[in-house]
Amino acid sequence: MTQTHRMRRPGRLLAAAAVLLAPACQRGASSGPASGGAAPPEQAVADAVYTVLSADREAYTQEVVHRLQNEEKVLKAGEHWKEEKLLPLPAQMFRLGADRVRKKNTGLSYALLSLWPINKQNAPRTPAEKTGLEAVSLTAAARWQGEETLGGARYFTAVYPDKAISAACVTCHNGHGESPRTDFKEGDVMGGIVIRVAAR
Amino acid sequence: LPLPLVSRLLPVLLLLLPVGAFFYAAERKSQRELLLPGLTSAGHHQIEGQCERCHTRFGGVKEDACTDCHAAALAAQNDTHAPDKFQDPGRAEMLVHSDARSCLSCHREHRPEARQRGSVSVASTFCFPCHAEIGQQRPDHRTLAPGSCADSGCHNYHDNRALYRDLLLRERDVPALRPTAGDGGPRLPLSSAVPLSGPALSAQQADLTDGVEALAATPAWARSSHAAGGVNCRSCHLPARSGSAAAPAPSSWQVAPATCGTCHPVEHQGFAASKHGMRIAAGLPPMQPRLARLPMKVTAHDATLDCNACHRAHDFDRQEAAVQACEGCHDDRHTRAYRSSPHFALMQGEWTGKGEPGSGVSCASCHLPRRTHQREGQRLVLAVHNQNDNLRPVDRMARDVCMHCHGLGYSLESLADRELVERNFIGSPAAGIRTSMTFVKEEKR
Repeated sequence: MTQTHRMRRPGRLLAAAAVLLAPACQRGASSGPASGGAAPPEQAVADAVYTVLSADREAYTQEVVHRLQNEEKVLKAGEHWKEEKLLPLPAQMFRLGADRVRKKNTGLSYALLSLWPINKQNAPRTPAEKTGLEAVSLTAAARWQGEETLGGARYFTAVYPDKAISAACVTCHNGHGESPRTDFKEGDVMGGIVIRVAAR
Repeated sequence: LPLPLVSRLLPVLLLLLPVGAFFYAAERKSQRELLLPGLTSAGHHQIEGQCERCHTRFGGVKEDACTDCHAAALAAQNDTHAPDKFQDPGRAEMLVHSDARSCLSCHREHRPEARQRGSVSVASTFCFPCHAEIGQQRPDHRTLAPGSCADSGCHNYHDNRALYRDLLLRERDVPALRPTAGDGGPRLPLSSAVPLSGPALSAQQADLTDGVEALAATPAWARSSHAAGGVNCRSCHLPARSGSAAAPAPSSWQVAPATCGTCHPVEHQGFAASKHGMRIAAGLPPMQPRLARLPMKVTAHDATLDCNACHRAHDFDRQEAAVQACEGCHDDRHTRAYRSSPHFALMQGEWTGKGEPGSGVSCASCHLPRRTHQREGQRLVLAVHNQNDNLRPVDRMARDVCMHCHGLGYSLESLADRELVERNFIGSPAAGIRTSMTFVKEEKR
């Protein structure tokens, strides 16, 4: 059975935002198969999206979770935040946004995956995810990019490193009973942000 | 007509006749049950004659047919397999096994084989293709049968609010009967008082006095919480409120659930989603026990299920609504066993003043549980009037109700023991029942 994801090409607004934000991104830092020659337009979109995502992720982790839970000790974050009335963990906050973006069917999607996921459903599945995660996690590449065909649709896929930016990340992952790796240090790459743009 | 022409047209006419009869029956909108392709599921049989609710004109299923009614409940359940998770292109390969973006992949309607499995029409092994590596991740799962994932007390496809690891670990050492907090507070939450509409009213202030019915009802109304809360006759008996001072026609004395819902919106919302109120919500005549698939008392077959079926018109009695009203219709083994159960003994204790408020367990305690709701900026504890809400999967009731008094492990074992449920929890769960808690208890500390 062939599955087709109903996604449209990225809108003009998204493309315009990409052009504006692209200079701030990590141009020339790619290490994947698409690094040679002129950069595809989807790369600028992915770079721009990564800039926004990583900034939001860092802000939530440090200014909300780390500050309220670890410094001021007034609120806690936890995996079952709805049931226990807690703050969502930074990874969950990221995925809440990803879920909403996917629902909009704009041709853009993103995910937070890891070679050492606590929830095994967040391990890489496609060859591009595996290669990309290995590139950013094991070889310190700043970005991996490539193309893949999934469910009959073509995508430009970029993978960016996701680092442990605070002690809270390291403490939680190293101390979690389900974590397959327990020797993370601050600054280590713990996973990768996978951004997909429907290819032209 | 020449005979050769008749003989040529006859097969065409014979072919068109049943097609025409089918469309005629479909357009008539009555006795459409005859057109059903198979047994409708327990959740939908009450509205099975309303084909257009789910189907397009030519028999397809509407895209939003499921989510129109079930989206809010799934969102509240923190759906573990929400369809949007599978819109991720990286998961496209998983969809080859089952297209998890569509409810219809697992819930095919009019399939009699799905009747005993909560309307799930796929094989019980359907988890396995995507979770085949579970044996490597959890060696204690290696010996389990591939079709046992969703056994009671283990995993659910949608709602796992009572089955996550942190909760199981926290509850690991809690005994069957949970120790009280020692603060003298109620074990089960008690309903809040509904905010008053105005100053208390006396019988002399009734605003509908014309007619025998009004005069007969006035004394009971004057003693009711409605009069105490400033709710006058015309607030509920709409024809009188909207028009003349004369009493409404006899048929108009009946108050529609939607009218009750203007002051009791949370209760009405639950009722409309329940087996009791879903027909009214669908624009059909009210549910009657004779239409039910569960055993009902013959004497109640022709009762109509609106608010007054459980709450009398003016003599409101929560005690009656919490037990006797249910017993008035339901005639299954679980209901009949209730008055012999330890839960009923506790309820009797509370009713007679020997037990603390919140110590008794009525039918409503479990099937219409009290939950905290936000209403107009106020935090109110109100009864959930959708008695199906915590029934499927059954372990949803564990967290919602049982854990107020019992440990999670005991609750899951009890709910997984179907015979114990039938006996209305007279006795203890059978030995050897394995739930998620069994695995947590067997782990090394």
